[in-house]
Amino acid sequence: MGKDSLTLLKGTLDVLILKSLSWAPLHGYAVSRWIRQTTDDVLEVQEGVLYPALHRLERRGLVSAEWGRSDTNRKVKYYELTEQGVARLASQGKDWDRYASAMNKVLGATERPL
Amino acid sequence: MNEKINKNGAPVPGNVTDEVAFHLEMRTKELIDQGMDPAEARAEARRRFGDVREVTVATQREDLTGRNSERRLEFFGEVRQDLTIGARRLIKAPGFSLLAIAILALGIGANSAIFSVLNAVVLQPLPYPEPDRLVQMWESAPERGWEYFSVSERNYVDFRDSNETFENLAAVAFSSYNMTLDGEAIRLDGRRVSLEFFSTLGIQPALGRTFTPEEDALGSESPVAILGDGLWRNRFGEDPGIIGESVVINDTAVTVVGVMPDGNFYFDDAEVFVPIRAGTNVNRSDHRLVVLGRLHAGVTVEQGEADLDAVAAQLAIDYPESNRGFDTRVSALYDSIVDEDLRQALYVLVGAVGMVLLIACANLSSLLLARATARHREIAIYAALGAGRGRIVRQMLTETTLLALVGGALGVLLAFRGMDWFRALDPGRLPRFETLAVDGTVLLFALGATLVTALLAGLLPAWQASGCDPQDALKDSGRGSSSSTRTRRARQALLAAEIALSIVLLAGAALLIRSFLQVQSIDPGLDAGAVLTLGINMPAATEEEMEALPGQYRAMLDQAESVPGVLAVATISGLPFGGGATSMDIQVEGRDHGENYPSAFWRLTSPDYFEALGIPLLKGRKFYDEEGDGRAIAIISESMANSLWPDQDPIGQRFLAWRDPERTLTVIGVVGDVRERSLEIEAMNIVYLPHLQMAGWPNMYFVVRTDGDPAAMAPSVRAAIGQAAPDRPLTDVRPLSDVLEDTLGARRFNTSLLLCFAAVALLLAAAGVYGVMAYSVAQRTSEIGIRMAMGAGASQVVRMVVKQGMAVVGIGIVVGVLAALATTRLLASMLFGVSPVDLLSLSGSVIFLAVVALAACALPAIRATRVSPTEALRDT
Repeated sequence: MGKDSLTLLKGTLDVLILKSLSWAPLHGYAVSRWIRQTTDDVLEVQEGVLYPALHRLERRGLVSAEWGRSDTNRKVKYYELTEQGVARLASQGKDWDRYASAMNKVLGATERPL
Repeated sequence: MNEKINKNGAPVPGNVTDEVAFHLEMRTKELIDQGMDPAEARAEARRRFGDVREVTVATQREDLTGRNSERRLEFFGEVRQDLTIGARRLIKAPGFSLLAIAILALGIGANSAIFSVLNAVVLQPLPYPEPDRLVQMWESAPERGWEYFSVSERNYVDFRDSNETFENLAAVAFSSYNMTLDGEAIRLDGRRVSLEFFSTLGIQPALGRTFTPEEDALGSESPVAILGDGLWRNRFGEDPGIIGESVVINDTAVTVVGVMPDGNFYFDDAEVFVPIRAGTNVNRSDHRLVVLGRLHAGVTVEQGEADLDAVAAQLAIDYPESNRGFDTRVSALYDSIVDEDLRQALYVLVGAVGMVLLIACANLSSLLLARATARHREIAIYAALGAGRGRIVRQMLTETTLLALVGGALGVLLAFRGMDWFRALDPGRLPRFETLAVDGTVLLFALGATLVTALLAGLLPAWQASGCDPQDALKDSGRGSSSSTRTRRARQALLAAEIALSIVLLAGAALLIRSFLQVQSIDPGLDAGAVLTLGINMPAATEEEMEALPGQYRAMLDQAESVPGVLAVATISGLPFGGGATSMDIQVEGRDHGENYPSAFWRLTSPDYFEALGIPLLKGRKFYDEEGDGRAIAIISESMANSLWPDQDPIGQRFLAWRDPERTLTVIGVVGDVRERSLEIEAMNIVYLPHLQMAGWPNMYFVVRTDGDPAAMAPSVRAAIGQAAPDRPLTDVRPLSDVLEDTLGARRFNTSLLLCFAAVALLLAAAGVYGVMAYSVAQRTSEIGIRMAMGAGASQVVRMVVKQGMAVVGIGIVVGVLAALATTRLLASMLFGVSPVDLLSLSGSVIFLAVVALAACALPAIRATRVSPTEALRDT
């Protein structure tokens, strides 16, 4: 953490959430844990920030949510990707790829500007 | 709201709080599993989560926004949400909100009130159809000092009949009449008007008709009149049957043929209109008419003047005796009603009050900046959540607009109060002032001012707050970070601007106050205190009546003199400062003046006039009653004596009044100069003639010197004069000091307003200084604590803080002085005896403001030294 952590780019959080839900419905805490572990804690962000984002995605119809009971019989809200969410993830993934490859090309460039 | 069916089919109610609690619990468990102490784990989980309350609120907000709404609906939803949240926040910070609303109400109220004056006096078009074709014309003989001179009747007839550019040219003469109504005599303000009066202005009687050409024809004697709306309402009970009835005016039965409409017409304050029958007065040198014209469509004012000049040139050839040297002046009627100086004065006031609003804006902006710093983290969270900068700016602007609207509404209420205040201030001769009102235009202006204010005051804080870096904001406490430095800088800049604007206003107000004092300190040449004035109208139609007049006046004077407390009584044909003027050309006997005949005001007086008004008799003697009739004598004013006979004794000198050899007068006395027209205008030459020599002059005033309060004496003096002339109504009964005060009306109005604005500006600026310094001191509590712990004395700390504050004030003052130097020129036409660049006014303003600012700086500084070092340090 600390020095090496990257600033959370705006909109990135949405992609991360959508990706985390692409395998199975999860509750908020699980989403948070998955993001932490997958990114090796590089993206430093206050964990609470996740919840307004989840609710915004729900409002926009990208995820749906249901309340249920956890293994420990706690009230838990599960989030699930909707069809719209799947489509959004796919399109954002493509955008991200294009952006990343462009950046790679730039950073790996060998020719000096004319 | 978040109730859903759970996987087992039973509803499980849940909300954001549950969700957050679950997260914290799981996270704590995970950290304990990693080997952390439970208490420590709980704290760490919370730390990593961020502010629980803020997250909960932000999440609930997302829910509130509504699902699957269309974009536009979403927008309005967001606006409503912004409003709800904004209102809630403002209610939660009542101190801030009330202060902001008060500042706004003051700023917008003052602006709306002044705008309503501008609207009534300047912006409103004249209430006639196609008003831009309306003009007023004058005859003009600049070599004789008569740039704008009334028109003589015979000349009017020639202008009317020989011009080619006017649709109509109308003549109006002011006169007053006595009407006998149910046995009571009342004095009526009347107009003699030509037939064209109605067609020129484009007005029609509300009832009945205008005059017929026959009724207005030269030589006609058909007794007809049109009643004014006010007279008809107040005295005739709005009886439509009055048309065709006869009323008694000046002891003659007159048939009412019409009633004028209600409305704000420039000439409608008259109570009765009669046909003028222009040309009856054959003396071309007797200039008395106001002439109004309606130009043909497409004709300019200049073309109209050129056309009338051509007529005037022909008249000068045909009647050289009376018309040589005369041409004409024509100006738009609007310009002659609302003159340039007045417009300029009002625009100066509008500019000044606009500055007050700018200061209010800066003040509010500064308050909002301070508040935005406090809300730093909240905003940072929104930003981190992906709320765009635009959305955050909008949320904050919504809040400011909400404040501004409440402030603006209160401001409009203030403006309504302001109308009463303005009327009480009575700016005297301000044209169209009676139409002053908070109307639709003013309300629209107030709304516009409110929105502009909200935008001006809110944009900078909103932009700055929304631009903060979320990481930065969420991590630290907001103190000492780069954005709080930016906020401080911005507030200091705003403060300097406030100070600068205040200096300009203070300097302007100081200049006007100095002018006012200068004018007030001028010696009018008479002692107006304890003098009561009364007007009377004594028309004499027949030779018999003429001969009776001197006796009647003597009787009235004797009656008034016998009232206990009356020291001296006299008659005069025109009151000093009363606005009326009668002038004549004169020629010193045997002297060739070339073309430049001296002119003088003339006044008819009874013997005790100088005594009654305290005008010193410098040489010679006063009049006596017995000599008036037939003997050609005059008393003249000092400056007239000095200019006509600089090296000779004026007593016994002879001159031709009206340049008429048959009116050769001998000077028997010289009296002190009187500034008859107004304190600001140098004394004119005045020729006093014994009243009874020209007793036929219909409009006279009594001046009564009393030994006490002249207003209190009014009833008994009135009754005494009434005994001698029971059927003659007395008008304008009031102290002479009031008449004098009236001439100061417009000046007092301007000065009071500008002073008021400067005071508000000073108050706002002081509040601004205090606010910024209190904030800065609060931010530096720990630093101050450390300094004091290290042995810095209280006075040292105070000095440090004050120095910092006064540095900003100093910059504001420098800018303000430069701005004042550049702008006070605009006041030039409103100043008297003071140069627009007046060192005393400027330095006085600077010192005054500096002292106030110093106090506003010192207060928070002194408070800072009272903080104990331990407390201050704990706060870090």
